[in-house]
Amino acid sequence: MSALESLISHSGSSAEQQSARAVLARMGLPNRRLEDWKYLSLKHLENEALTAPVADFDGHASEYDIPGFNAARLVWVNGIFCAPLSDQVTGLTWSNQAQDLDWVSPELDGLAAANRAGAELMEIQVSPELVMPVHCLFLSIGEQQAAQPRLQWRVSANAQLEVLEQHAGPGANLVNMVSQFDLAADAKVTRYKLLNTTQATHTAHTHARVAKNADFQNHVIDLGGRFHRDQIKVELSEARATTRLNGLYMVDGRYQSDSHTRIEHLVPQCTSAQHYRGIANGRGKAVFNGIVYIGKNASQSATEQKNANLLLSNKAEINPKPELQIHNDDVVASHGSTVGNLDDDQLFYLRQRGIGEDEGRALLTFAFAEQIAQALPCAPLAEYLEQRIAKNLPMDVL
Amino acid sequence: MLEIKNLHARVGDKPILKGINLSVGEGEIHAIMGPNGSGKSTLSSVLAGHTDYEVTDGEVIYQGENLLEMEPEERARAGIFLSFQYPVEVPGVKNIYLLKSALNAKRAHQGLDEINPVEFLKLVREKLALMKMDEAFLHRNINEGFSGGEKKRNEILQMQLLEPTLGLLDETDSGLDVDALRIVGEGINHLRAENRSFVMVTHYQRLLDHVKPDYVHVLAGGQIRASGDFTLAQRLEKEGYEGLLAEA
Ligand SMILES: Nc1ncnc2c1ncn2[C@@H]1O[C@H](COP(=O)(O)OP(=O)(O)OP(=O)(O)O)[C@@H](O)[C@H]1O
Ligand SMILES: [Mg+2]
Repeated sequence: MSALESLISHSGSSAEQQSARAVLARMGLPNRRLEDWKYLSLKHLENEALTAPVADFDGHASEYDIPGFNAARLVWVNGIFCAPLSDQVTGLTWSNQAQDLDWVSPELDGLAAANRAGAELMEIQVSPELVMPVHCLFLSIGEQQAAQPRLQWRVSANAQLEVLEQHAGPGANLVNMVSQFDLAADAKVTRYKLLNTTQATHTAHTHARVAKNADFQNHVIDLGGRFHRDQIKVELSEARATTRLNGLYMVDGRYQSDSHTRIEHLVPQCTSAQHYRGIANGRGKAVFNGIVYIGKNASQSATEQKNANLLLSNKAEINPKPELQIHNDDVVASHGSTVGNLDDDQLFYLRQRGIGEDEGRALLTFAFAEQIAQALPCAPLAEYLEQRIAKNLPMDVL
Repeated sequence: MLEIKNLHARVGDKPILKGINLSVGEGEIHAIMGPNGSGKSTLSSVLAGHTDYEVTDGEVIYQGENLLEMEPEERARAGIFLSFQYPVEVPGVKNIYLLKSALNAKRAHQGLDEINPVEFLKLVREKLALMKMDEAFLHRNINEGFSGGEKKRNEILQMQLLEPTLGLLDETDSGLDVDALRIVGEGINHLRAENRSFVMVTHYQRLLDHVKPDYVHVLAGGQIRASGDFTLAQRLEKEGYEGLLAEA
């Protein structure tokens, strides 16, 4: 049995789920013939039967805490929400009875269809009473299970949400996630997504819609794994909505990382910024595909996109594709993407001060990633990340 | 201390140094002047071991050792310090990290333990005060966003801390205002010692008014074309390179 056949068989019974199941059966899982899947493929799933997930975890969720990040913890095991392991917190309510926003259409690709067909929706409502950060822990345990969380965040007017979405655990499962963020006027969301699973195949679609004066910030940190794909779309749908998408991906060995972003300016006076950085070593492969779309009506838009990549081995591969699609003249836009090695002049400068060549290289690699860590508006997370980046390097640079 | 014999170097196919001979004794200060593009920075870079430059002939003996066979970091640990004409920005690496690593690398080379953090901070503060630099510079990324003059001061700050045996100062005076020039000049004088030598590249006599050299050389077309004492710099100021080199 293939993963596709398994996913089809896991479908739920509602009319929407059945119709998504039909889409999945028709389209199959994405393959390299699709423009968006040109570089990295899910071929390894072809002969991998997947079982329905089991929420079997006898450890302590606190093992996965980030030191200094004090947050209300919500826990999912293999995509299944575990209320007994989760905290109750003022300002946050969840339900599994909500109407699906259906912003991530099953027609988008086979993964979106599989999630719609098989997942149970959880809606989380955030009110202005929420003052504590939230730590959503997604554990992957066991192997060859199909974990398909589906989350819908409703962030009400003036509410502020700071959420860490952490994917961790030793499991070799498929984690195929969909998240939808609905930001009402003047809401603010800061989301950190930390990919810390090496064995899982992780695929995710995120869709955010940002209303008047609201701000959506997303920081994705991919520390490297067998297959990580993160696809996000942000719609700036009312005046003065803003977004920032930052990302860091680090691949070594045979790890693969695939980042796809799309920001849509649909109305005047919205602002977006983006900064993704990647490091590829060994035989690692990474893709960055960032689209900024500025619609006909979106005058006085401002957008800035930066993407920098460090290629540390000649067997590693990075494919960056920044794209601006601008349909309005009254726009301030900049974008740039680079792929390069470490800077010789910087390395020489450090060596001239007595720092050894290996340490110098490690230091510059750290410094490259550090620019994304520094931009995290959360000190404990930034520190955790710095330690993790340093750990992946041959030298102690902290 | 330093013996340069018939040094030839090129970058790509382009020969730049075409037979440099220079002998620097202990405690001496040599000034090197010369037209733009004559090879002054190339000479400093070759001495520091920059890999862009290929030495095609000649030799350099530093403290009895074949300098050209040493890696850049080995030269640094052996006491060679280059104050860059264009100090490099290193985003993401804090100045203080560089200072500490550099100092500890040197100490390890001398068989000493790592400096303890309290002692280190005390030492750095002392040097900052000498260079009239704010402590905030320690926590900024190396040279990133520093003004031209701040970068030069930062170079001398590092030199103060590392106390080299041979300081190569490449246009450390360029881009400095009068006060900064005096501070940098004092910074260099502060380090003057019997067993410490300097090679200073400069275009202006004004630095030499603060730090009086024992010898002045004129480098042109990849060779040292004239040498003399302090008065050579004064003649240059009056006659210019063309006049002076026409006579030579
Ligand atoms: N990496 C390089 N690639 C190509 N050409 C170089 C390189 N480095 C130096 N050169 C050339 O070598 C020559 C000497 O350069 P150098 O920087 O040594 O001059 P300089 O005497 O220091 O000049 P200035 O007074 O302007 O600083 C110049 O013509 C320069 O263009
Ligand atoms: Mg020069």
